[in-house]
Amino acid sequence: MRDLFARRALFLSALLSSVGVLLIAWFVLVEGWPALPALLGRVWSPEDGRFGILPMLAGSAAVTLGALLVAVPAGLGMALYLTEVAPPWLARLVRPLLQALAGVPSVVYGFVGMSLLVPAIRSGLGGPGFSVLAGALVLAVMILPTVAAVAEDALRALPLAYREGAAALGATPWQVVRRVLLPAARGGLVTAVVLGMGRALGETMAVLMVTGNVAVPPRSPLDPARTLTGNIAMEIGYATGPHREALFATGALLLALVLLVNHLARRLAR
Amino acid sequence: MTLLKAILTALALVVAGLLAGLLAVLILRGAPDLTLEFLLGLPARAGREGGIRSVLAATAWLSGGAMAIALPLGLGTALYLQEYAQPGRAVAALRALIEALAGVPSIIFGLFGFALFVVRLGWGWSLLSGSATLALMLLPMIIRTSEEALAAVPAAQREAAAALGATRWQAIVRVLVRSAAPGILTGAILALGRALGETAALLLTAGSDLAMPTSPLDPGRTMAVHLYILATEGLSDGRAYATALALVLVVLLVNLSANLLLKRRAGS
Amino acid sequence: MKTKGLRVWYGQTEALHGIDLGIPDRSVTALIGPSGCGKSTFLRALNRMHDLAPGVRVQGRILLDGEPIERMSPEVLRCRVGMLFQRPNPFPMSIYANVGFGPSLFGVRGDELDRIVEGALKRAALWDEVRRRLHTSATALSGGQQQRLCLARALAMEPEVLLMDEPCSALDPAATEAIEALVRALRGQIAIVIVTHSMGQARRVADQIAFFQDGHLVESGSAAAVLDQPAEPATRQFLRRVSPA
Repeated sequence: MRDLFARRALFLSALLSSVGVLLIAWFVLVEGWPALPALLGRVWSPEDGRFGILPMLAGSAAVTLGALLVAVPAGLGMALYLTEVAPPWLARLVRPLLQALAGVPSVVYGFVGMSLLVPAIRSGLGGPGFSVLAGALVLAVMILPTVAAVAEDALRALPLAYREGAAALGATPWQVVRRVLLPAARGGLVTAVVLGMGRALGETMAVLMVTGNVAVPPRSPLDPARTLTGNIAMEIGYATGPHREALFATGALLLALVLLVNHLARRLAR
Repeated sequence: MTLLKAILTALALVVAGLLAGLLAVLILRGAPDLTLEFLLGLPARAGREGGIRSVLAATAWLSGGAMAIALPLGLGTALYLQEYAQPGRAVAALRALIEALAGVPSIIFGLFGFALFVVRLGWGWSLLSGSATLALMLLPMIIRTSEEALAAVPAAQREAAAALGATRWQAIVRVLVRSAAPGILTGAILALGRALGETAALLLTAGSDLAMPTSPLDPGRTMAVHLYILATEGLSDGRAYATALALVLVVLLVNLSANLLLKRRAGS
Repeated sequence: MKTKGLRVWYGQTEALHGIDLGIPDRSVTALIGPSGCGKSTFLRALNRMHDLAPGVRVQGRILLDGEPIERMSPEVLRCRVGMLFQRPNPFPMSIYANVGFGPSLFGVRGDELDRIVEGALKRAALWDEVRRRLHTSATALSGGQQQRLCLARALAMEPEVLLMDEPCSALDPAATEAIEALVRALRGQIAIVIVTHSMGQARRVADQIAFFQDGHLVESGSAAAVLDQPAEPATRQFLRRVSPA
């Protein structure tokens, strides 16, 4: 008797867990549905009733791209370091370091970025300091562990025979990496990039704190910007009526985008 | 050492330096304010003065509440998937949905929590709304680690329990879960680390009231949210750094203990 | 090639105790001995493959045409001393890309690369089988074909010496026969050092034989002498235990 009850209860938990994402999608869509068409505009100005998200799309794209430009080579480099250069005892010390970086809360990154990085950019490179550049750099540090971990898995899966075979033909270590290992691990490496992109798109706090508050498309890395996530976080506290609907609609769009990117990553992994 | 090795080693040093630098900055600027009075005192003047006792309390309640919901639910789901579910399209769909949940951005969780718990169910900005939302965020992680822990229990143990006449449920509880407990615990601890760092979703569901919460329907402000507000409103640099330091130390400690537990299990 | 006092350590364990052996040009030298006697270790020292493994120490002199190999860059050495491994290890690329890999490292491309690839595949007796599918994946080939591909890949570098580490152990008898035929054909062109577990194979292909045991070079000499009239009792004992196959 207990067994039957237990089985039912467990099934219920599983059902609840899986229904979660559907509920989320449903609620966000329901609250934002009417405002979806309004998102197609080029200007975001709630006071005037204009809810075009182009500036935020540009902001998200700029910051994400910038972050990938830094995090992908760096993450790949870390993965190569761990698989090709570091002796096993050192690799075992460095890997938890990367994990620790991943564990630091995003608000702490945002805070340190705000206190140190932004003034540094302002005095060193000009502009307000709150910029796409600051956002991209902070984001890069945050997605680096993800990219590095997935890339390392991909490289580690390659048989030793490839390395030996290439070396026996007279290839230098860099040639072995560039001509054999990287092409062979291509699938896993692309997955790493796509997963990093997914994380970057979904990140809110850190980027919010360092990119400034301007709902205008950025024209240079030193310009401030606003991301889709930052937009929602900043205005939802006081938004009402169509404004709130527009924010929920943005959320629905963002959710769809991130789910798509992650789905793509999983398909690529196979 | 070839050029390649040199470049890669330099990179590794930079990355290690980043973490070290981060900790150094936090310690240098935060340690002076991280006193016992700070931890035990109540905030005053919106956080410009005083301590973070109410914040620590809210953090504890919210994380604890989230774990109290997510752990049974997640473990139950993991048990179902591992022990009862027949492999097939339905189960694959279940798994896909749970995986999708793992990818949802935190701000979206906030929107959802706001729409459902705060507004629709009328709980308002409260510890309850915050815990429920947070629990959803932790669910995929707990399910994944619990499943791994359960799957790692050797089949021989299940057979032995069955051979001794145990019913399915008895075997599960007394043998399986007990065996997998360290792994499940590790997953829970890692999830806790994640919960401590969460900001966006809680801002939208638990509110940002600084008062000491006395009931589940009271709002509360966690350390992460407090740091955000102190920082963006420029209320107190020293206290912001102290809060950041406290937060990072707690998170690192939590992750460290999880990793140690993992290593001990792997070694034994 | 020639080695003088070659010693190799894996960590604290000494695997080779001072080997003095000459590898004459344009002939086949077979290394035989029980498992773990150091034949592969010796082979891998000849093209400095041990450089790639952490914790392995090499001492002594190894000369290629009178030149000590430690003084050369490892890449240059491996252009002159090629290697064929126990299990075929083609890269996950096309047949053409595999064979042309070595020369392409030096910027060879286009018609010149085409010629080198064709020449190498012909020397490995694989050209006719793959000429119409040069740009298909190398991993689609059978085991025997893959090993011949790896041979072609090594030959594309025009090495002076070719090291073979039990190249037939993962192959069926037909494929083994094909490889052995190739070894015999190459014998007049380059020096070949082949590690083998089969006395039959040693008899079929080798001009010289070196017998290793427990990290020592027990006996070396012409194939006929070592196999039929071994001077050392250890050699006699080993040959008696191993059935010719």
